[in-house]
Amino acid sequence: MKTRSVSRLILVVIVIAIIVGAVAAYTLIMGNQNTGSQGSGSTKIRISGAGATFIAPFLQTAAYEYALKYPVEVDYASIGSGGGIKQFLEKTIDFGASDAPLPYDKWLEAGDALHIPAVIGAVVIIYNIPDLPSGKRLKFTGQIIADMYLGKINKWNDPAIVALNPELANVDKSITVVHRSDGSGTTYVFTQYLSVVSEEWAQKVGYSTSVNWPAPNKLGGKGNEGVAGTVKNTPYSLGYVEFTYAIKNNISYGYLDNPSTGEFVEPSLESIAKTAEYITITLPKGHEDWSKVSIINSFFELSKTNKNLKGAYPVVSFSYILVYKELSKVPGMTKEKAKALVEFLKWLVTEGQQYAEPLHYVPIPQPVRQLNLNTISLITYNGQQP
Amino acid sequence: MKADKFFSYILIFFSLFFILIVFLLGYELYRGSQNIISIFGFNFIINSIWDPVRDIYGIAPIILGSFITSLIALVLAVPLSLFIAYFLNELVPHIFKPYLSSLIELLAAIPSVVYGLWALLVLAPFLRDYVFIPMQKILGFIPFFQGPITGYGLLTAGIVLAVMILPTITSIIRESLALVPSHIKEAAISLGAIQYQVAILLFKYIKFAIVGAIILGFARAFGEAMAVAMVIGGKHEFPISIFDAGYTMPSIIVNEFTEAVSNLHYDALVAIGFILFLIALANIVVARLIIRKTMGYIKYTTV
Repeated sequence: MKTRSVSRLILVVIVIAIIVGAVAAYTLIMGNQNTGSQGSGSTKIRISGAGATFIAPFLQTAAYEYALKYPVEVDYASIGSGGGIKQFLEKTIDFGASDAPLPYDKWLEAGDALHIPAVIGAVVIIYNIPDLPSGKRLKFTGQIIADMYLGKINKWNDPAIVALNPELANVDKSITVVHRSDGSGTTYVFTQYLSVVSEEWAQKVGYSTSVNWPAPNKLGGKGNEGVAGTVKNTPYSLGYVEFTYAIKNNISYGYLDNPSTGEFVEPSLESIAKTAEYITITLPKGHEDWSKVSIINSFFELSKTNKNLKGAYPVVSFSYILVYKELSKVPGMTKEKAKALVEFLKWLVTEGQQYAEPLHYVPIPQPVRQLNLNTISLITYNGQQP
Repeated sequence: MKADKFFSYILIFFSLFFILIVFLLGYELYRGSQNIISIFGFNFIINSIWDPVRDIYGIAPIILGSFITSLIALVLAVPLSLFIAYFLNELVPHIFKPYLSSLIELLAAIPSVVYGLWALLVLAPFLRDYVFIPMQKILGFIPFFQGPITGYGLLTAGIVLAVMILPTITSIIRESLALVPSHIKEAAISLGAIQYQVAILLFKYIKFAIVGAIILGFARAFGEAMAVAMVIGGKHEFPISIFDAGYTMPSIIVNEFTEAVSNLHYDALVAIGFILFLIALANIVVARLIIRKTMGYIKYTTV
């Protein structure tokens, strides 16, 4: 009995020690943080955002760098575009982020939502053909990719493919197309591209964050890593992933045709930024409806008349920050916080863009930065500029 | 006395609290599926087209996929669990018993996303090359074993699920075996029964517990989302073979919920959650009833 009560006593002491230690450590850390910030006040301003997973590494890095310079902490939860839009509309966050612009009905529901394109993403075609030497780059046209995903082209030695890639003439194998099985902005951009290049795709399938894939010989992978893993493990398959993902993991990808010049363009930071630059003139103002905005659509429209848009990769999209024009309606918003948010957004679309490239994001081109600064200057708090 | 009453009030409060949470959860899921029920009604369950672009939602292939993968998992896991449980209880020397059984239980403690990644990167290509392709060569004349083999699909998902539900089923059977009064076994051995006959006798004795364990294992397999989502192949159509890609109800929720931008798409996923809730509820109730019955049965016969 005696030893038991002693051991119990020891246990209690240990538990108490742990609790006290944790509390002490916590207050110590928080205290350090507060004294460490040399702003006007002693406490930091916290801004919270949520949404697309694609933009998360960029926003989190940018927020970290920003916090080193200013007494503002930006928390970003990467919960997906759908969740981000939902929370934005319910005003439980200070800003949202989405890979697709707000659909028209949601834009109306929000009332005065502003769209701020913050970085550019692109989708690249990856494939696994064991017969080819590694690093061999294939050429595709949008039409070929659409026909593959429609199931109309189902062999690698299809005349349309061989015409561009003679080395495939003897590869008499069925094509397995791999798609994202989870809803994703990557799928949204990719299917939008297919809808533009193929009339049949637009009518049969359309575009969204997840669609009803028509090809009979297909596989879904979860996330970019799922698609890349499935393609890697499945001989004679073809899939699509986010450009940044392909770069980071050293996956070789194909060239796509530029509808303006007819050349085959390698996806790269330059060729992706080029496309966004060409279409800037077609963009609406930040407070207008963006639901119809698509770099892909605009680029193909421009290409019809202008045959000189050189070096542009076609499958490109913006990732957006969503913010209300009148901030006072967001619960918990104060004038100081509104000011901090505006300052952060201004920084993000100008100076903050330097953190995009090291993470393999494509920074937004100069004309879009100007557009964004105009948009941000519209933001008010109780009708006044914060 | 007073303290006693006070204590029991606290207990009642907390138990009611949990019952309330279950009811609220069910109610919220029901409320969230209202839109789907009023637009699609029963067609939601029997239609086979899932098209978020046109806002058409039918989940018949997805329900079917859930049942197929769970059944594959049971077919593989139940016999194995019986062997393992009997082996652990009757044949393993006493010193090793706790170590071996905690190894089995460790399988249950591995997070499902780890199973998923392992299945995606290691298991699926291995199964394709060394199991599925030879299997199709031998069994290819049966309709459900035809069609292209990629390594990702219903059978792979079922195999991963089998590994995941193995510890659940094993531990229930093991506990029930331990409850069997020793005179039953002693009587059998004294009559000259061999090991195999003793095993059959014991299994017969706990047959209700085995059924209960199967149902609980089924519930676990049916509800698993992450590991399945990684290898199921995500196809919203009726599968043509067990090698084909498919979908299960939890895995479509985990896959599409985060980026479900259209309202109806979101509602359709909530409605799937509601159906899962009902199925899980039915499963648990039936399993508990059966397990209780077998416990009573054992007690009754020992008295």
